Amino acid sequence: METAVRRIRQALVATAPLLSSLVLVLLGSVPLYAGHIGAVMPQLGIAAVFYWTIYRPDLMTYRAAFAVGLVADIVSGAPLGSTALAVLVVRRIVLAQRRYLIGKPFQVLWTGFLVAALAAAAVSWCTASLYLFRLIDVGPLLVRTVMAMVMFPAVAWLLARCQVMLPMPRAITLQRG
Amino acid sequence: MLKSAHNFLGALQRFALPLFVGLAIGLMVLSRIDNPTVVNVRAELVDVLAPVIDVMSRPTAAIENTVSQIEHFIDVYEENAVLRAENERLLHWQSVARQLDAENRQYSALLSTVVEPREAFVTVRIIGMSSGAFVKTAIVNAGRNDGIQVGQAVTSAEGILGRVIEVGSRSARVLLLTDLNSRVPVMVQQSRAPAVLAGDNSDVVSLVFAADGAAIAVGDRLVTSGEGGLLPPGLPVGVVTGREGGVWRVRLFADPARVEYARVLDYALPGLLPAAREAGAAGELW
Repeated sequence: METAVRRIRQALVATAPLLSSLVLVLLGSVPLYAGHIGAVMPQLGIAAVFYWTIYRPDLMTYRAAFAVGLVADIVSGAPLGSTALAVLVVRRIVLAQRRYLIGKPFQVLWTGFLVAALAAAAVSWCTASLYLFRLIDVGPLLVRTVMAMVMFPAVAWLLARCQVMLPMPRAITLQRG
Repeated sequence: MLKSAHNFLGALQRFALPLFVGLAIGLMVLSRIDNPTVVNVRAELVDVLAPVIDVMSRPTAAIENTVSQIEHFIDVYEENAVLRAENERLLHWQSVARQLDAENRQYSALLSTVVEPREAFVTVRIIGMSSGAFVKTAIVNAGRNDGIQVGQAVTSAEGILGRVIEVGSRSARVLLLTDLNSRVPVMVQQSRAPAVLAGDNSDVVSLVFAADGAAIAVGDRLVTSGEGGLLPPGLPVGVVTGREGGVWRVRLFADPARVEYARVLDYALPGLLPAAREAGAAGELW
């Protein structure tokens, strides 16, 4: 009985980063019915992947990041794989820089997110321009990046609440080598 | 056995990045060539996610309703005065419209004009909205089961919003007029000058294929022309706001970011329908 409870708990912990990221992706696609604010809604999945790659890279794997991006593409109607590609790039960049970001004041994290969001926007711009065979307007992408910056503290706060509920990573990190 | 599985997982872990990047690029290529399997799988997956998004969109709709109710309550006095004045003006227009309608019927009867088919409609709720670098689309909470088909026009009370491009059994995706791939045949309401309305993923849309020297001016109202047989003619589209770089710019009447409930029109043009629908599905007429 106790092992079953522990297993369920472990499964919940293992999937929490993925599930919370997916919830954010779906939330980001909900219309606000309030005019232009809704039209510049950023891709919240990128913020979630950024956060979890810093704090739980063992749980936000490339596979999980790819799944987050793919669901974002399915919901948004963008070509399948386009957001997934941006999210993979974000994970790669954050993985290389996470030791400079972890345990630092929030402002540092925020600046790190700006770099990651700009990288994601650059990837989106390149893939969209290639896909559509024309140079697309940078303006809307930059507005969305700014919106992502504005919303990041709220997203990070939510995910931090979620992270507090997870047990310390030691056991799982050891298990996965 | 266990060891080889472990080795395989280790290799997968090591090559995860190139593997998934390759997969993402492969999927994009399949999307680019409109692979039917990809299109269908996507529609079915949206179907699965639609109820979740629907539930998530309820609180935002409730908040927006409450906010607008409070706004209305604050403005109730001025609004009442404005509405009274508008009501007087509209009553005058009503009598003019009745007279014109009666005259129109008389003339139509005299000339034995063929009666335009009337469209049926389904009322839907917009549950998802996307405004990425690639597309401007919306998801509505009705699909094949409710009679929605690819190519049908989606309108709000103010005017046309877009057309259906993907249909699942209980959800559908709408390509908005502002999308880069959206092309809608329109005409100037007064002069009947034809043109095609094209989106470019920004908030403004423009007129392409307008004839040189066509009778178009700032302030002209645009309606759908019904060319191609997919859209009913006469749906309000927008108003011409100016000319930039030799292209007429248009402000749309309907703002999809504010609309919660919309109508999907089933415009049945007898005889023309199946062929037109297929062409519409393949995106040739648009």
